[in-house]
Amino acid sequence: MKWKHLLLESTVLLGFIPCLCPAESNPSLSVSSASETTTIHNIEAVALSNQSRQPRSGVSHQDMPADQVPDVFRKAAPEDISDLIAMEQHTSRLIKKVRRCTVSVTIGRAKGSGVIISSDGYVLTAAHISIYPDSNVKVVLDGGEVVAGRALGANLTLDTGLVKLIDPANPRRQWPEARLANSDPASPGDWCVGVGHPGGQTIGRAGVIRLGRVINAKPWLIQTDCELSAGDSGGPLFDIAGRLVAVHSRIKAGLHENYHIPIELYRYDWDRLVAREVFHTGANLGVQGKPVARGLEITRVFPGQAADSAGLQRGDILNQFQGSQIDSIDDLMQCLSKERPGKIASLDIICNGMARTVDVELGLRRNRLVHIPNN
Amino acid sequence: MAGLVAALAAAILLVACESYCVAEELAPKLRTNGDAVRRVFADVALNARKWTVSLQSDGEDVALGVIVESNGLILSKASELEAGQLKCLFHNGRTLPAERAAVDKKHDLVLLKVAADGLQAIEWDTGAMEAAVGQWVIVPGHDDLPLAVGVVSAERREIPAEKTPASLGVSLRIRNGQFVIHSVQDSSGAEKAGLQPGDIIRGIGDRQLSLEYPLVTQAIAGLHAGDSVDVAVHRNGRSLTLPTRLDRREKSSSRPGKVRTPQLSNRRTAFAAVVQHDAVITPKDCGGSLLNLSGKAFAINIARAGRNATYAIPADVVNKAIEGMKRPMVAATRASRLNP
Repeated sequence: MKWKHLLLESTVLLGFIPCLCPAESNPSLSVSSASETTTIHNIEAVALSNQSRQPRSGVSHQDMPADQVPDVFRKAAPEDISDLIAMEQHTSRLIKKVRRCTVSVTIGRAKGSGVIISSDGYVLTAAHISIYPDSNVKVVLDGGEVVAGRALGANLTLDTGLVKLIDPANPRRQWPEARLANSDPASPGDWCVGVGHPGGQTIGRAGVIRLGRVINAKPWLIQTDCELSAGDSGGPLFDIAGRLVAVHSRIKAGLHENYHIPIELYRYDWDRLVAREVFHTGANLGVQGKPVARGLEITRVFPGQAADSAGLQRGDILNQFQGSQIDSIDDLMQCLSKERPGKIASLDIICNGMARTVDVELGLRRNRLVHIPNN
Repeated sequence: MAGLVAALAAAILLVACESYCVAEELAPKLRTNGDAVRRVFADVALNARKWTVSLQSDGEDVALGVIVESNGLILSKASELEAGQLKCLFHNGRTLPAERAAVDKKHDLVLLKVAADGLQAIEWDTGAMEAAVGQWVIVPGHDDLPLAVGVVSAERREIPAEKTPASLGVSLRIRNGQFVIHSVQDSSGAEKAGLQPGDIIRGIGDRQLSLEYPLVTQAIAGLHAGDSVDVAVHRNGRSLTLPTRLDRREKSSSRPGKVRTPQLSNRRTAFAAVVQHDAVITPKDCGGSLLNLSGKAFAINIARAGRNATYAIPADVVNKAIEGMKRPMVAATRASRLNP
């Protein structure tokens, strides 16, 4: 375990990671061994215990050891030419492997990329590519073979989407799958390899390779300097050991502003994605409260979650959330259900009798938002 | 004692952590193209700085170039140097006017002549096998640190000529099931062809427009900017056919917040062979050399083609092009010697 994790633990939002889906729904996504801990369906419990100081779950993974990776990748930066040589020798050796499972995905007029993560043909992609369940998907494999697929479910908040490959002539076909990273969050500085089909699949051009580093890692989004562009969405981001860590999602203007979805989020929603659900999951604030005369009084702030990080405390009274009046927990839930993790929400509160506006970066919502209709 | 050791360990951890990641974000200098990483490539690019030149057209930086022969022969990207008075800036600060000597339009390369001798000429990596995807690439400039580093992203391939999508230059309204021209764009091919507001478009090319086949864009989908197409209109009871030259359709970012199109080279298609890499340069950094870890040039950067795509022509193709460009020059020199 890298030493820097120890120092970051108190600020890492992603604490306890629920383990993978039960064997019958999809064994191939799981990289864990048979001694898996219990599948979490009681998601409330997860949200409440989502504290950074929780010990990591006993999730063990049939992970290939990372000892194949040259030391230079663990340094702050390469130091000399022998480091550079070691880096490129290693990277060049990864290319075939990372391209093998990378595909291009076309649904209607949407063009993107995807990554095969199981030998029975599940393909991770971006929700904004695969959005309509049961749509026909045209998939082009590494090497150029065109195969069919079917769109399954999508989490529109997180931009995760799922596709299943179909080969009617060979239903038991074994597809080239990616090796998956475990649930350890990515760390800033991690070297990574991005693959995809920017500009759409081009004949004579295999998956386009980019080498970069993780700049920022939030539980719902990893930022790297692997430059992405249109057509890359849904394509894979691998760690420097060649394991899949994330799926390309979006970019901003800056060339270092490239955003990818950690595969953990696909694991979490697996059952729903396979079941062809298209859904939102909203965002998390991390408080409990009770209605009072002037709004919602915060009775509990969950350590390490959004409200805590923004400095909200027990006793603060929440008046408005993004300009909407908050008089009850239901009001707050309604507001949160429309947001996504990472959104900077403006909260009007009363703290020690003084009115303040606090900006809060909303977090990842784990438990299902139960929509309680307003009376 | 144990407490002291623990405190010491914690202190060491803190000190060690500081330069790497104090916050949750990677320091800019440690990014792939941050100073700390590019610095390591500086030695590799030492020689290349000397054969790199900066080219100006009418005083404005427009391209990089390389010295291919010590007696003043310079290579660069032709399409950036078509017009204006050219000046060549060397790594030591010296400036000389440059004359265009030969052009290879197919590869978008140009040879220039400067009145100088004893220059440091480019060293080609002729021993390089096909550049391997994943290998480091370095773009040298004149500064201490290379302009950019990256990796080879895709193998050598042809980039076909891209025809530009076309626009008819009119806006239409549907009235009584017919397509009526509402306005004609200034200086468009449509205006020059004589199309007028009020004209009813009956057909474009061999396509008849009807409510079942309503889209003008579909009618001209197979056509390209610069193509001419017959537009059949109905005006004041008369049927006319007006040959109309199609314009280039500009992609407009009308959605707020949409990422601005990055700066791309004008000529970024129609290359017989390029290697693609992810080192980020601007269009005016094209024309210079692309190095591998040997410090020698294995390609010439020819186009910034996308947010993550820079194209470079491999050395063997460049050298053939140079030979081709030099032949008429050599012949001319011989001829002038025979006929003084």
